Amino acid sequence: MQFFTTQLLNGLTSGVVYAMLAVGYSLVYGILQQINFAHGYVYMFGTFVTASLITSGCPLWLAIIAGLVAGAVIAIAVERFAYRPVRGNRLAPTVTAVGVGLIIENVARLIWTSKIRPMPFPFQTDIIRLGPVVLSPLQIVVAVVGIAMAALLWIIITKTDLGRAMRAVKDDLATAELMGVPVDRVVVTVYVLGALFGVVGGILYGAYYNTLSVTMGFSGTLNAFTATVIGGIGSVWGAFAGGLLLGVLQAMVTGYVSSALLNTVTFGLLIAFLLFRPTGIAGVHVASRP
Amino acid sequence: MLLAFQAITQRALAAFAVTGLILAGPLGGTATAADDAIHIASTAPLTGSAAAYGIETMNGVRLAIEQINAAGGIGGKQIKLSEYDDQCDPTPAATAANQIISDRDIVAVVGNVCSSATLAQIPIFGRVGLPVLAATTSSPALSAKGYQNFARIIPNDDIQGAGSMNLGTKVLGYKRIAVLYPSDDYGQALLAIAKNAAAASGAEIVAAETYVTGSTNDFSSVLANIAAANPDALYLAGYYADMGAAVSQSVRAFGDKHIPLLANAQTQVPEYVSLAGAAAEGTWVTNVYDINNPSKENKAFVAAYTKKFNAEPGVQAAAGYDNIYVLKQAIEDNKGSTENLMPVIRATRHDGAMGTISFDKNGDNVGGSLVVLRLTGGKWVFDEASTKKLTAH
Repeated sequence: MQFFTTQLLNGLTSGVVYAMLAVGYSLVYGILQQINFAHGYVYMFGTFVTASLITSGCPLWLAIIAGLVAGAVIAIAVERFAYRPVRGNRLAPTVTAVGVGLIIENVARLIWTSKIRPMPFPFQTDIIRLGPVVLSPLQIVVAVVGIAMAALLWIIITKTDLGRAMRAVKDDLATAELMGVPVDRVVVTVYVLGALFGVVGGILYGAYYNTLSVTMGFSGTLNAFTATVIGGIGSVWGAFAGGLLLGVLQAMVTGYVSSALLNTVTFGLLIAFLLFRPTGIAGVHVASRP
Repeated sequence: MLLAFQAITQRALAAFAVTGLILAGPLGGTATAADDAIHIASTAPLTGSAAAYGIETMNGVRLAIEQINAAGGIGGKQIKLSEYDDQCDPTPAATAANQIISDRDIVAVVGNVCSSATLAQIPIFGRVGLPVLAATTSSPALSAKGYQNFARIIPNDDIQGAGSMNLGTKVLGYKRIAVLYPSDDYGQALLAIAKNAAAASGAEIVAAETYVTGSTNDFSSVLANIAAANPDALYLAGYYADMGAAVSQSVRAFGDKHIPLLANAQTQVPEYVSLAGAAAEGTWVTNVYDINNPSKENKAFVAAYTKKFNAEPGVQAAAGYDNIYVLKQAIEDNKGSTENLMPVIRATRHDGAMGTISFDKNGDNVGGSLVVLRLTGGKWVFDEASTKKLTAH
């Protein structure tokens, strides 16, 4: 039971991180039906800004804000120069996204080199004992941040004018524009929101696993993208559900089957979902637009 | 629209033509120019997750070449080095190998660091009979296949891996060992060696957990498995970056329980210490090289390396350095000829920075004694008592 609880907590913790990263894909896909392939690189950059500021002795809160601002600024630039000129085209944004992603990764290599670096963060070596179960204060931080971010997203989508505008753009971009919705501004905001969730996820990732590399934009994204598909691409709640499910599943496979089968099970699950339930857990049906 | 397209096409063609002319000039020149130098190529990871190994190895290679050239070269001929980045990945490694064999001036390949990359390259070099004198590739598979064009500077994993395990079981007395290994060739080989070494010394492998190097950053679940197996010691059979992350996360899995860490030579880099933090303290390492080796060859190497790079050399640098001196001695033993070098390399006996280097019939290093070090106060400290006990077995 103690072992089960430990693995469950491990799985939920990585699940929250996957969910934060997955929201960036689902928000954009849900509203624009586009896979934002530059997302991984944007949050990588923001996370590295935070990590290098922490390392250079900057106060934690300032480093986190700077990372979020960096992520937002890059998201705005990517939307303006790589996506907006080709909006409406199904294929072109994929190509521009990969291109801009490579540019971001290589700029990051120039600034921070290719070396894998630690990310100092409070509570990293502290533990809390709950009976036989050992818990990290960072796991509590990850959980609290995850719940708070989910609540924030729910409020934005359902209670604000921005959320209403996002839903209008999702239903029909052209009609929304005719009704006076400032479509360009809404689309930028969607990308920025995705980037902010991504940077939060990236910072949690760096803090909890204490290891960052510029390649996390690509490799770290693999699990987040799998979580997005499992949850139902386009549904932000699906992204949360998919992230948590994937995290727990991976921990249980490692704990009760074998760490050697981890990727086999993860990508087997991805293929199974794509074959038998392409709409994911949330079952979002994305109608093709005329 | 059509006109515009044509204009673009014409401009593009013109640009291609001009680029072609510019490229053709110097390339055509070097391909035919026969200078009187000994051309060698190096292939090592200069970027990516193993870059720290590759760059340090190349520093050793560069230092040795600089010294030899300054002293008049080999039989009056200067050494010229072409460097290739294999990224520790078979695909770019094969690309690099194909580029190297297309340069007919090259007489030998040195500096290899990663076994997976080198495994992909040896058959390609073999097609043109190009000898490979690897620096720190350690997979036994490289010599087990009977390649005629291969030799290496450091002892293979069978000797090294058994060293860390023998330290744990025979010298330190641990009976229950857990192993953390990467899923690639290198990790699989070390796991098999750990199992054999454990069986030979009456110890038991109580957990064997794996991960994918370069993409696994979350070790919490495998560490929970290791903690649940209640081992006496954990054998870290992987690369520094992964081991650093895993050890950093181990505090949460093991709680207050102290589990001694046994590691192989790959872990003895400063990056492991900076990534793993305080949890790395006390890590045991067996290695084939130690900077504090008092031999005159090593003292001279350490002084020159420290002066040039303003950093202390590790095993990678020493292997890269000895790599070039073994090649130099082989060419001298071959009366200055670079023809049919491999049999001569395998017959070479060289006293280098690492110790006495000599080879068996498969190109494996048979000389060189293991050393034991322990991370103490963030520094790798030579442990003389354990070294004596280990080599006495």
